[in-house]
Amino acid sequence: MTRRFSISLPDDVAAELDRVDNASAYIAEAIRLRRRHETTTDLLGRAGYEITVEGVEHMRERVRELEGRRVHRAGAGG
Amino acid sequence: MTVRIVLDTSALLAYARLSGVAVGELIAMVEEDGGAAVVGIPAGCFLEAHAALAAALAAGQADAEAARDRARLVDLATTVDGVAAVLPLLGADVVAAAEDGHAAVEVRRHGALLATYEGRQARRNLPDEAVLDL
Repeated sequence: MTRRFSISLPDDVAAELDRVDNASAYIAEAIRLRRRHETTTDLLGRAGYEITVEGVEHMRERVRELEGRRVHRAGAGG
Repeated sequence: MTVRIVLDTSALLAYARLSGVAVGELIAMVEEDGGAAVVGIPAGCFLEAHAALAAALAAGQADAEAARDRARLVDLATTVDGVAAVLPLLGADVVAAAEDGHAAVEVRRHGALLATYEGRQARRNLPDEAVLDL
């Protein structure tokens, strides 16, 4: 189900929508991503975690290194 | 939905008990990287972790703390619109899950990484590059 809205946007934001084929889908995806971010932040906060930018970046480097090794192995037929 | 990381029982227990920040960092990383990627919670691992926490609660070990640990686990698995998703155990997978663990089954299915505190045991069933030691 969908609903129609008439909304006003700043010029710089409206310019983004001029570039996409489906503005409704673009806005819906942006809102979903925002909701996912807020939900995750709330979840970790409720749990009592204090997550740092440095900690996340270090974890990202480790994950990407392993993912790269997996892709390499798959490409080599392993 | 793309399952990028799978949490095994040891990772779920660590998250629930606040005994390490690594799982929290993984969840935040997957969320930040965007797209439709999720952190997978195999149903079999959730059941094991929940049972372990329930047993601690039943044994009367620091009741309030054990209750908070269990609530933390349930919150992770049941939060809607979040970045974690429970992965069901399919009938066709029950034998493989019984032998290798449900987490290994899901790692193979999705081509994901296994996040675990028991890497040595995990590597009996998975290649080294599929195991992320926490």
